[in-house]
Amino acid sequence: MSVLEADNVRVAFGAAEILNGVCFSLRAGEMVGLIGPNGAGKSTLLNGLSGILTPDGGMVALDGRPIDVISREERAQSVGYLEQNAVAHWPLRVDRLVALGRIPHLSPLRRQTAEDERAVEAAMAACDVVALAARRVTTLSGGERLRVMLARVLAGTPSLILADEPVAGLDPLHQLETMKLLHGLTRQGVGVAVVLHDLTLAARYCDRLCLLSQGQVRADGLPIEVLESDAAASAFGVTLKVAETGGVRVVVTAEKVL
Amino acid sequence: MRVKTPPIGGVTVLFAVGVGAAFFASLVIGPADIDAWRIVKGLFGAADETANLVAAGIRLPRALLGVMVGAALGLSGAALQGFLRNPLAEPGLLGVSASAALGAVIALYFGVMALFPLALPVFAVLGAMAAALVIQGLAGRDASMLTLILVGVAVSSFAGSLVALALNLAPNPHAALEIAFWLLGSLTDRSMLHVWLALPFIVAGAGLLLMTGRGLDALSLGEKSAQSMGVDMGRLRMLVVFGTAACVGGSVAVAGVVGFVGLVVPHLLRPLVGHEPARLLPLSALGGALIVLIADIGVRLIPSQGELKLGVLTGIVGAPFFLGLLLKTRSEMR
Repeated sequence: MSVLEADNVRVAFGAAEILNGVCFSLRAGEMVGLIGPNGAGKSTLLNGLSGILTPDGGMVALDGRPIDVISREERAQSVGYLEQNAVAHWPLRVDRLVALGRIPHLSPLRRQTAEDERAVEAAMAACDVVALAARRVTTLSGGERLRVMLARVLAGTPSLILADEPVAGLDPLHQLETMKLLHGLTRQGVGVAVVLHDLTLAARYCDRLCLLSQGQVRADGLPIEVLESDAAASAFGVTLKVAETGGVRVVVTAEKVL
Repeated sequence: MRVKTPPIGGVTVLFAVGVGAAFFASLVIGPADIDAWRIVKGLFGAADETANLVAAGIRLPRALLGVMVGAALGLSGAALQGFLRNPLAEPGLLGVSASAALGAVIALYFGVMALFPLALPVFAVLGAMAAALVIQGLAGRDASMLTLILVGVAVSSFAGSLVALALNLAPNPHAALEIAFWLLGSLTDRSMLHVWLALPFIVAGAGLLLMTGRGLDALSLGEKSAQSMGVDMGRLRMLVVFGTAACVGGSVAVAGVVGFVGLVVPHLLRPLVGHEPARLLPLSALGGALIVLIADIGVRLIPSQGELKLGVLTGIVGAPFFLGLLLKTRSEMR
């Protein structure tokens, strides 16, 4: 069972404190939503958790071991990261792009083996991009491209996935499909932390929500409790109400906090 | 469905054969009217004295340098374009070419070359290395791509200004002319000494650059995604910067500035390898060697008053060609 923990993490860019003593954990099999207003430090926290950025203070640990004593390869094999607005800089073929996800498993001179090919095929099937295999990634729509990028992450068979605003800019159908896909992964034992601005999607698909504001965790718990908390109201500047319609939770903005 | 590494053997073999053919052509084509068989025998010292001298002393080093310089420039261009994820990148971008040229100009200007002739190539390599060190120092380990490019522009402009200063203050027209001619780029009248001098730098640089393949592939998805996949950006940057410095420094040392090879070759070959940066590296080395060999044969065949300089030809053909290419493919590049 994998677990990724941030303990009292501090990150500062110059004089600006981006994260100020953040504690966070992600366990295998759970789906955690990271919510909070713009500039709260959500992306920075994901960067710290994925090892892209080294915190100025505190510690990030994978399965109880500090992440900076774990080799890059080992970390990359366990923790997958989906960049916000992920794009390819070259017009790569879709299947070749997904195969890049195997890089954490390849030693310098080793080429792809049958096992790598199986992982790539499974990831492409899971994200429903098999039909796109021979297309150039630059010719895909936003929704298709996101599925391909997610397949790239899955190809590395990580036990934990960090996704930075994966549904931003997608139409409602693709938002729903993406969330379902991520949620489905947690049922297979993968832990998913996802940055979300759509609070209805957060309430509907996440097992737990973590509310960040001004570089600190203001609330962490069951979605309804976090969303209707005073902390959420003061963080977003609006009060939030969770309602239910046709068996689906929706989050509505009630009124501005004075 | 099978996800296999696509075969590129055919293309690679084709280019390798092409380089071999161009190498042979470079040996047998020249102003001295000696037939191919006499040249081949001359390579082994088995022909008459003239043919021996022309084959082993003039044509062989020239053809070898064509392969080395072309491969070094093609490989550097492919690595830089992959690293910066920018098809407009080239060895000149980091200021390495300009600084290597500055090193050579210093050797010419202060007459160090007159004291010992090898000063020219040695200074060029030192210039390239100095540029690489300055870039590493200023851009640091965690610099963004933009910072790296801007530092490259600054280094390039500074080296260019100092070369201009040398031309401006040249003690006599002859010295200025010598500097100007060096800057044009050529493989004419080089000896095996030049080959041996450039070889270690180019081989070492190529070795470093060929190690960047997997990192460059990962970088197609951006810096953050690459890092999340375990790519050490600091190490990758070191490999690219020093690999380029050694390759370009070695090349400029013996051939002067031969432009556009590092720009055009990777750009042309990229579609043949599915736009994948790692697979582009070895193919660009072959493609660079092929183009420089052909261009160097071209300067011998094109009738002109005094031989056309190689760098002039690659510039005149390369620049408009590249512009046209850009206009044509602009839409598919993002």
